[in-house]
Amino acid sequence: MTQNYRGDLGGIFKAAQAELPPRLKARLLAIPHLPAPVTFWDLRWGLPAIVLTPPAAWLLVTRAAVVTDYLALKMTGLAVNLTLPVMPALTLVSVGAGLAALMLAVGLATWMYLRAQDRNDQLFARRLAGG
Amino acid sequence: MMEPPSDADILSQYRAGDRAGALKALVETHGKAVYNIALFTLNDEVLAEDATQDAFIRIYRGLEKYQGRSSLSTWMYRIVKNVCYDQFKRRRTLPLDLEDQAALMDTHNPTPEEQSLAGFRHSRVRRAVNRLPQGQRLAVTLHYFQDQSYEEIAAIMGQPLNTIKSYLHRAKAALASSLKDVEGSLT
Repeated sequence: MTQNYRGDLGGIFKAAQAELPPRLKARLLAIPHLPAPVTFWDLRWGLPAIVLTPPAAWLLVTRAAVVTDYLALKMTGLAVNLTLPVMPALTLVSVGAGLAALMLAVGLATWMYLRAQDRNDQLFARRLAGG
Repeated sequence: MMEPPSDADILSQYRAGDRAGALKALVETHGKAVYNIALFTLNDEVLAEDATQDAFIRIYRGLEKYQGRSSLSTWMYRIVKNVCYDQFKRRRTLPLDLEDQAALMDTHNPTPEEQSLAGFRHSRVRRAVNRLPQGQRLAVTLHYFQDQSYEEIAAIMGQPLNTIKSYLHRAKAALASSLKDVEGSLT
């Protein structure tokens, strides 16, 4: 029987389809048990906040000390013509830039760490599933 | 024998909270298709299995956002295509030496699997498909294996309709000549 090759390509292809390997099927059915990917609300994103807390707290405490000293002296009348020391603009800019750079660096490191951990989790889960 | 669940049934099952059940139904109905697309696109069983798993992970996690603008199979096959192309990018060697691979495969001794009729057909078709350029290969896999229309293939591949027609025209001509001798095994 002679066949038209072009017309029969569909049949040839259908006959050549591979079955889904049982091991792969098991891996696919295990997908709901894989660890969830890192979400925006992941608590581990709190890591940059933990790192940034000491410098930010130091800045706040030192400034608060200056203000409370000033208020105390003003209230007791021990000092005359005393003005609240103004933090120089350059200090503000440099401290702000430093904090921003630190936040960026820690944020980036956290993102890389979470991504690597996520990949490791996936790999581990795949191996457990026989992948 | 039970009818396979429809795509609408699977989606309602997923939206009702039975996500694992919906995934199982997806694997039953589309798993073989997804695996074959990956297998014929990547030409490697191990890579195809990984790509199938990656695709199903994305499908499982992305099903919530599926809005039904295209059919579920079109949406799924687009994901498989993206996963396979990502694999290509990661392993730049794969699509470059297909001619060499095909030549090597043509001279190797047949394995017991290939000696069986199904194995013979499968390996011959794979070899023939793997000689095609990447775009033609995916188009022909979607067209012949999954019965996708030209429009659906264009949507999956993100290419204009005329490009798909041209891919399939050239691929059919190439396959028809390289699969002539498979005809005998089909009769």
